[in-house]
Amino acid sequence: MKERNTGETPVPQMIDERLEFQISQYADGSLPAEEVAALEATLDSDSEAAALLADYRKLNAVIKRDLPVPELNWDRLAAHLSDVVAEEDRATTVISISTWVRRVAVAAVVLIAVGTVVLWPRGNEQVAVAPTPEGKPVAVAVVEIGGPVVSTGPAVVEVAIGAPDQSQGGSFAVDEAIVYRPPRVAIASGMIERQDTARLPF
Amino acid sequence: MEPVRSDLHRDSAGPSDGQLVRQTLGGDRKAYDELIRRYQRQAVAVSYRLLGNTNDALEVTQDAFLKSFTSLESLQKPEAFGGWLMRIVSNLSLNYRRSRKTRKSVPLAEVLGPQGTEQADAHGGGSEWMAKSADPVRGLEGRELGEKLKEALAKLPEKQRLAIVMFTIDEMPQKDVAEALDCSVEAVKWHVFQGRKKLKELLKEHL
Repeated sequence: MKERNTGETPVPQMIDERLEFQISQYADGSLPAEEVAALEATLDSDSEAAALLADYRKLNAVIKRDLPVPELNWDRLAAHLSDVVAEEDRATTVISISTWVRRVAVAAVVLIAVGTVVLWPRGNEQVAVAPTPEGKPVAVAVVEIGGPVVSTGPAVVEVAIGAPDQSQGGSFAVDEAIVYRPPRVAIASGMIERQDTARLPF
Repeated sequence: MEPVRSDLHRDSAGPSDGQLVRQTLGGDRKAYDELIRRYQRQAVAVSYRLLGNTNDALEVTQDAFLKSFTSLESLQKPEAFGGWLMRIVSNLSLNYRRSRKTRKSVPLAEVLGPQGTEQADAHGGGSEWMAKSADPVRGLEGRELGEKLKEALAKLPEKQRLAIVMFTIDEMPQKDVAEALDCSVEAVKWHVFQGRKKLKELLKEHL
């Protein structure tokens, strides 16, 4: 770290990192154009900054000079690399074709299997076919439906007159005075047997 | 030393990198051969300066071109092929020592110059090329400094080392270095600055 001799008490100067970064870019030729003029003015007045620029340029020259590229037969290397790439390209193409053929074969087998299942004829069921007046046969089904048995004898219903059975010995009693039960009822004078309640079949 | 530039063998009227990439994806393998011719030197240079060994650098270069060819469809910006390829080269170089897979060997005898095989067998790094110098004293000093430089570079953090190698030594465009390091151009400048500071400190006795 150098000290400037200005006649006054020397003040140690250090290059700040921002200035050092600008000097690095200037050494590479990559400093933005709008910053070049100001930096060059600083380099003219600041010996330490100028010394740092010189160090960076020397370092650049050393690392470029002392790490050279091996001297090769570039035409032969290019031919070799081209052959290697061509070989890889051929191998990749063969694999692609094999894969494509395999997929097509699998798809064909699946289609054949599905087609066989769908289109195979079914012969176990028989369907009755009846001709229609138009001549088109139509399938007809005969169905028997079960129903009640019809009695051929007279309908007979037994009717009891009097207190219901539930009242016998039940919780309530039927007063004979309320329920009047005539022993016999004659509906009309011209007595017809069917009008005589004593003769009613029910 | 002649700088290794991506356009060193490129005809100004020739197709751009992006056009060559698109032609390759269209099935034109000769277009990829042109990309090989454009970038093989840069790939070898970057890998060599990271590994310090010619044979290793050639193996990595071969792997990088193979990998870039098989994954060319994944390149989103065809015009950025150079930086993308250098990213592959740097990643493969940094991972090379852990790799155990077998690979087709590069015929070193064919691709090296007349004296290259002998020198490559004798030395693993770049200092053997300094033996060609007419100044024997300078040659010796150069070899020693070259070894010190390689040791110092190996001590740098990864991105600083890559930035120094690609930008300062190989003079790759900063945008290509940014693409290779997957960072901004400003970040590349910062990595170069920090790496250079450390190298200056490590080599102060030899400069």
